Amino acid sequence: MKWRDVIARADRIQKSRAFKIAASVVVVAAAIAVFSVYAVQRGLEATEGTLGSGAGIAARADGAQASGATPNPGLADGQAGPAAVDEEAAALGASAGVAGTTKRAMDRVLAGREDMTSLAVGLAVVSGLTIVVIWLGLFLTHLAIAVVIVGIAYPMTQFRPVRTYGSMLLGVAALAWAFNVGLAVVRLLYSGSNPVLSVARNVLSEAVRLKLSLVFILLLMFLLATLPMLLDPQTPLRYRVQAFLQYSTGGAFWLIAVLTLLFSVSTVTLEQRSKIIWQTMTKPVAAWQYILGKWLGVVGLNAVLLLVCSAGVFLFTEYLRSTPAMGEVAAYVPENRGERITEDRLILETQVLQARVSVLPPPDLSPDDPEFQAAVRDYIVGIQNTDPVFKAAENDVQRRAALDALYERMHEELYQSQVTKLRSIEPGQGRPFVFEGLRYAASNSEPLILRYKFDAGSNQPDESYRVTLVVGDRYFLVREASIGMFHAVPIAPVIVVPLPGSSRPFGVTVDDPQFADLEAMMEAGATEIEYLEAGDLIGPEGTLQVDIANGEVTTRYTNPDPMTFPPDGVEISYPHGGYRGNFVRVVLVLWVKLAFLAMLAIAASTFLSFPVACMVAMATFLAAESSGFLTVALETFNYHDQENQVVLAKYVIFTVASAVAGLFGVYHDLDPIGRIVDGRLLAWSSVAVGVGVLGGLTGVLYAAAVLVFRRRELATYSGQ
Amino acid sequence: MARRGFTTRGSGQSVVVCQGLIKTFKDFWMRDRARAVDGVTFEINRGEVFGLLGPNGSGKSTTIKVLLGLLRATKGRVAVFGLPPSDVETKKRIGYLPEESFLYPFLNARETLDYYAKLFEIDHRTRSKRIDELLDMVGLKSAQFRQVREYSKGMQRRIGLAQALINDPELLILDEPTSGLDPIGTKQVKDLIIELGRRGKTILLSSHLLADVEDCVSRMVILYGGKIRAEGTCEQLLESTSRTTIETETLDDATVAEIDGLIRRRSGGDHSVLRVSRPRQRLEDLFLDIVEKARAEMAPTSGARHDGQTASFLLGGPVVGDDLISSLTSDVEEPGAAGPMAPMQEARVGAARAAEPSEEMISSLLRDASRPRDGDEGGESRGGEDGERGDGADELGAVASVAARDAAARARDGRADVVKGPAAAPAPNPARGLPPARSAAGKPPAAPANVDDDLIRNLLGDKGDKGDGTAGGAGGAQGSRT
Repeated sequence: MKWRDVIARADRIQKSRAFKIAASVVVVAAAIAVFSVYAVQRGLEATEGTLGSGAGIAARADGAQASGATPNPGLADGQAGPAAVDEEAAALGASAGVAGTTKRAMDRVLAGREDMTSLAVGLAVVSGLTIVVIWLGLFLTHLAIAVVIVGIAYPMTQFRPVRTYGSMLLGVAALAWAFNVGLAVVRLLYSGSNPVLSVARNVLSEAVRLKLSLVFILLLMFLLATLPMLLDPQTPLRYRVQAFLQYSTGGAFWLIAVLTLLFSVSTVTLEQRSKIIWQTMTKPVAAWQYILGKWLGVVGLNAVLLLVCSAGVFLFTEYLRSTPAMGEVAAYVPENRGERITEDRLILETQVLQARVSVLPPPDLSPDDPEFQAAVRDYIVGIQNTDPVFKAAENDVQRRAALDALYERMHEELYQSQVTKLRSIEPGQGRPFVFEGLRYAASNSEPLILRYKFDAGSNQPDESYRVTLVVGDRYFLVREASIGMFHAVPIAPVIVVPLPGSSRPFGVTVDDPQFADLEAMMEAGATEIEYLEAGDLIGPEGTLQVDIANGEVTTRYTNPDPMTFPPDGVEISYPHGGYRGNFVRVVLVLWVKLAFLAMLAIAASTFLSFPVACMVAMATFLAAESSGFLTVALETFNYHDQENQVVLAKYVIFTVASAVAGLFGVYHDLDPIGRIVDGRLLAWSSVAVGVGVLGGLTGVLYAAAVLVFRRRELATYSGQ
Repeated sequence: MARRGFTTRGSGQSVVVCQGLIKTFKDFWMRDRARAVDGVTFEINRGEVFGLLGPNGSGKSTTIKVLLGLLRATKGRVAVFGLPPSDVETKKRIGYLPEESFLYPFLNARETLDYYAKLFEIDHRTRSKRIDELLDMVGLKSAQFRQVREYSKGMQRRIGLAQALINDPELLILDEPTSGLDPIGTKQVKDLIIELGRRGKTILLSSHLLADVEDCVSRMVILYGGKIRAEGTCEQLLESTSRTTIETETLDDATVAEIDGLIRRRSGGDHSVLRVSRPRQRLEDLFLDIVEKARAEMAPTSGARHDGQTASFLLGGPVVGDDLISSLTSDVEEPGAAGPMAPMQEARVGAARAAEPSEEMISSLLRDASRPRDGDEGGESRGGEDGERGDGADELGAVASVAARDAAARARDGRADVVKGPAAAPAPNPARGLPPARSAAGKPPAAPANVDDDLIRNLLGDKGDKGDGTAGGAGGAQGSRT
């Protein structure tokens, strides 16, 4: 039998209904079987204590010794503290089982080890795509291609010199396969007999058959497949995960955004230039149908690209999560047996792969504060005679104008100066930071993280300062912190231990190796130590005060220079929802942004040529992406010269930039990539606002595009 | 809500009305740069094949683009089916083939037709059927899965024509439809245009290839510099009233001299034989013959095929003149007393029968042809009568010749179906007064001026007697030459 006959026969088989049904059943059964086997295996491992769960650690923690490592260098030698651990108490506590104590934060973190959601998602995605391929009548074809690729790539992964390339090939092949299948699904959705869907489906064909877009798609696949190879295995796991999330999500978004702009422009302008549009618009196709069809086509393409990329990012992030963190011998199994959880793992699980709400303290000073304004006026009165414009004024009107201009300038300068002063703490001094809106955290006893960053002296990177934190007036901590970097301290839950000579007890946080020991002591009945959660620290109005001192208060140690906290230099965050839900919302917002960009490019193409439309679309995109930077830059932008005269060019720049920053404020504030990298919550309310605003802008652009397109004489182009 | 259409002066049957159309192109500064169309006024009636002729730059394409809404008129009124050209409803009834085929290069032929069919919201089953038929008709079935970018220009024109017909349009606008086609393709397009015209389609045909247009259009305007320079039917514009052409078998010099002498005597020396020459076969005919032979030999080709049938959905209902054709071929269709024949034999018999129509039919044709035309003067009436008889007879000859050719072709192909007569050939429609289809051999002889019937009979001798059969003989001769 010739090859051609074999192929023809196989094609008939894969297109037969019986085969499709049977293959679908096999795929679903296989997925369930794999999941079940994995679940059972996990369960057995958990029972045997080899997983590294809390219970497992406790079971192994016989004769746990204090590690001796402490993050509290402020304690003087000889002082009784939680460092000394009773072996018997520890063993007693360990044998009693940690599970008997309410320790939601730790349990939640460690429960991630047993979570198989990612496996379920992965299996569901692969099964779904496979079933689509089966019902498209292409299963055997795809299977054959997969066998060939795996046959080439897998052996490569077994040999060190080409292992990377083999993995890359497998990654690219998997992404390309998912993309092809996803595109087939969207083409099916667009297969209706009406102008809008017909145009949209044509756009999809154009995307994969023209070099312009194909290059971008291949580049995207290559980027995602290559990125994991570039992660340095020596860096802490949390940094690797953050770096991967940053570059994969950010890189994918930027590539897809540029593709969207270029492709959306080309699909409309090149049709006009080559007159292909004549054949379409002499058919019963209204302008609104044509524009809508083009937009839907690009949006559909973006949906497929984004889903494929985000699925790849998500699954690989989950894979990274399951690898050992710094200080672990296996995932969730600390090297140090006395440790319940390593710092790297804790930060990863509670800060990075989370959806945290961040609360900043309210501004110390309002620009409209009456006292401040009065002070500024008094200041100006004092210096007005040194102002050259005021001195040159010839009448009251001119003097008034000069004073107004001077007031405007000085108000901003003095405000910045005052705020900086208020946020500075002199050596040996302290100041309170009050956080509001923490009712949810209190009522749900969510773990609280305090993040802070300060500047001091010349911000030497190898210099560190001692910082004393008094939390909710219930306990205090001392930390050694580097200058100019963010630090995170889990301030709740906490175990507080009385400290002789101190009015406040000392707090032992969950990342402290002694935390587990103290828990055991509590189990044993120790009454002098106390376990505090968020609800114990936060007031009934949802407020929490944290006092920060420049130095170590208990030992009267002071740092050499004042510490200055920037406006976002102190925040409290707590989890509000899961990382996975947050990830879905982030992808949704990215898709909405891309849809806006697509309509922007199409609208520009209705009346501009290809290069000009590309330029306009790109410029608008860059302006939108940099609107956050613009907002910050405009705060210090001065459009006056040294003689306090308004410089027209600068004023124009200021006005335009302000308009752009304001227009795209929502676009920037959504910041989906920043949120997923930092583990900050992107709430559904924010998503709704983003969709509403961007959707509205998209609608305005659509209406404008239709109006312009209807008026165009399509038989002319660029004046021809 | 009822649509508000134009109220223009036009007959009730007007499909396209153009009144005082002016189109001026402006530059970036809105200054007038070129006046492409300058006060053009015309109407296209339903069922007409209308020619828009003129040299390059005369405003033909601009006029068409205004009709299609691709350009807006600077001044004047334009209505298509009573509605403005920009109205989407209008476009459901229009098929358009631009001067070049502007197609998506990344789609194949099938996808191209599918895409355009969906724009008309044609359902899947109908779409599929029509695409199959159109691909077959334009000879691209074997190349339907190749991307359009790989097509030759001729193939692209064919697929362009197919997309113009996908919606079975009432108004077909063809801008240089034969551009890029070989002579066979050109002939097929012309045949298709004529066929569609017979089927009641309204066709607007724009071209500067006058020979291609002449055979198809019923009425035309000729543009130059954006203005109409001439307007009318082919007969009105093309017939010469100052010459007579007589075609016979080869004559020796003495006979020619005698004819010359006779003419001089009859006209008192005012007229004489102006030119004697041997008719040349047209290059197109030679080309067609060669291709026919190659097809008969089943020579392979990777280009478009030329044996497609007109798509059935385009043929629509019965056509005026169908009865005539049916009756002409009815003898062939009847199995006959001789009993069933082999397909080849049947086809040959059919071909022979088609070439020898019954006397009754000939008489009826001659009767039709002998009715005086409006405006014919008395002196010319007899000549005109004979001329019309000649014309009618020549129609028969033309019909017969095409039928014979088709029958021969089918015989070669071994088809069992009987020759149906010139169903796909340009058939005459005496009732509509259209000019007779031109056979490949050239134009029919017009009635000579100032030369009476006796002279003709004398010149043609016995062959004249066959004309009640004269034209039958002449037509037969024409048929046999092809």
